[in-house]
Order: sequence, then structure tokens, then C-alpha cells
Amino acid sequence: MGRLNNERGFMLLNVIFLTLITSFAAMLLMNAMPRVRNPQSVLKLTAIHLANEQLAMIESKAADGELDLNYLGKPEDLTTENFSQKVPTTFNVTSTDKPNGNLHSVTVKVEWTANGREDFIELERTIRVVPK
Amino acid sequence: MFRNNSGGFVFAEFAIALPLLILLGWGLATVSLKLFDVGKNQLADYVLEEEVHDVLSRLIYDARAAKKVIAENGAPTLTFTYRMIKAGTANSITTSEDKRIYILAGGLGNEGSKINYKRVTYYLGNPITGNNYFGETRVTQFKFSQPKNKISGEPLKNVLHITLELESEITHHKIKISTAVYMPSCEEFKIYD
Repeated sequence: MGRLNNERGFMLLNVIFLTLITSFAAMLLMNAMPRVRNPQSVLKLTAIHLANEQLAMIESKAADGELDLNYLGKPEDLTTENFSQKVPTTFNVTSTDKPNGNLHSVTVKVEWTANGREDFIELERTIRVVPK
Repeated sequence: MFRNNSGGFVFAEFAIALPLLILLGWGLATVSLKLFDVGKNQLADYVLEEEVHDVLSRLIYDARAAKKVIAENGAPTLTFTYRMIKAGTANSITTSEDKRIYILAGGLGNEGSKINYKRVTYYLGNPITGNNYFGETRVTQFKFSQPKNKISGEPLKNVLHITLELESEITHHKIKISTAVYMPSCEEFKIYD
């Protein structure tokens, strides 16, 4: 073991090098963590605009005296390929309402599944049904 | 065995340690380059998402209160007209018209095409997409229509349907978002193809 006496300098240097390399790798990995792409945010944005579309249609029909809670938007707007690598995501739109005289608080719920994760948004708007 | 009369490293030790060092350095360099690339793409995607959302939310806000809406699909242009009150001659008020125009500059799908926002008809462009330091975008679709009633086939009254698609010049990802807005006080609504 006496021969290690000669290599004490190298051993100290190794400790310093390994520390530097490990901290550099740790820095890179910690940078990478929040950068794992999350497609849910874009889908959420698309879903919010889809719910707004549905509410606009309901409002237009309500101004003519009829409250229609079926899906009234364009059928092609129910699927999207935003950040989904050519795999379309399908939205499911349901509308419910709580009437209070002429005023209805209409809730539109949009649900979807992406990467095996379910998610939804809910938008509410007060809509006046104009009597005919 | 090795003749070790001088202490320190011998050739065999270099032969083992050097490739290991090169491998380690190469691995770290690859990982860090990939990370910087991912970071760059993520910033560009963020800009893309943000610009689509910004244009659509402005449009909806402006459309809601418009008195007159004229949309043109040929060279995508959307004109909202409002009625403003201004002071007239002694003890009277008159109305005047105020416009807000969304106009596509540079042609659909071309490099550097962007949406301008104007308050007057003569040229005073104010680009609201593109020119971002983190990611240039181009407009690939900007379309207006009036949805139809599914049962009767009649156009739904005062509903403007907008489809906007932007493409990032850096990642070549696309975001396409459609929405619609109901314009309760609109008196004149026309869409030209």
C-alpha cells in the first residue's frame, strides 16, 4: 500500500473533478425537470375556446326565444391535433342549465383524454332567453 | 508485470482513463445540447400558444360590442365599427364612427405573415403577432364564417365563427383554435368570400 503515497495528489484532484462533474450533471437534470412537455395546457386553451363557441351559439338561439342545450358548434371543432403528434384528441361537450325566470345560468363542460389522463374545464355564463 | 520505477501513471492507466473521460465528456455535451434545444423549442411553442390566444381574446372582446361587422375571407380582414358620441355644435351631441380593423399582412402561409391591428383605414400597422425574439410565427389560416342552425339550416343570427392557425418558424408546430362570439348589438353583419 505504500505506493499510494505517490498518488495522493491525483486522488485529491479526482475528488474535485468528480464533484464538479456530478454538480454539472445535477444542474442539467434539474433544468430538464420542468421542461417535460405537458400538452394539457394547449388542449385546455382549445377547450376554453370551444366552450365559448358553444355558449355563443346558445346565446344566439336564446335571443330568438329558444334555449337549446345540444352541441351547436361545428362538428370539426370537436377534434384537435394541437401538439398531439397527429393523434387527434376528441372533446366531449355537455351543457346544463339552472333556470331563474328568463335568466339561465348555463354551464358548459368540455372533457377530453390525452396520454391516458382525463381532464375537463367548465365555463358558466348567464344567458337571457328573450320571450317570443 | 509492469516496471514501475518512477511512480505515478503508467501507459495502461492512461489507456483506461482517457476513453472513460472522453465518453463522460461526450455524454454530458450531448445531454446539455439536447437540453438547450428543448428549451429553445419550448420558448417558441410558448410564444405560439400565447399569440393565438392573444389574437382570439382581443377579437372576441372587440366583436362583442360592435355595431357593424364586415369580414372578408379573400384577403383576411375583419372590420368592427362602433358608434361613438362626440360633442357637436352648441348644446348638441352627434355620433361618429370608430373602427377597429384586424388585417392580415404578408399573405396566408408566407414567411413573416402577421396580423395587424388598426384603428383607422389608412395604413398604420400595429402587428399583434410575429416579431417575437423567442420565436417568429406565420399565419396559416385566418377564416371567418357564420354557423348555421343544424335543424333549419338558417344562419345563426349575429354569430361570428373564427378559425385561427399559426405556425412556429422554429419548431414548425401548428396551433389551430376555433371559437365563436355572439354580437348582441350588431346591426349589420356581412361575410365576403
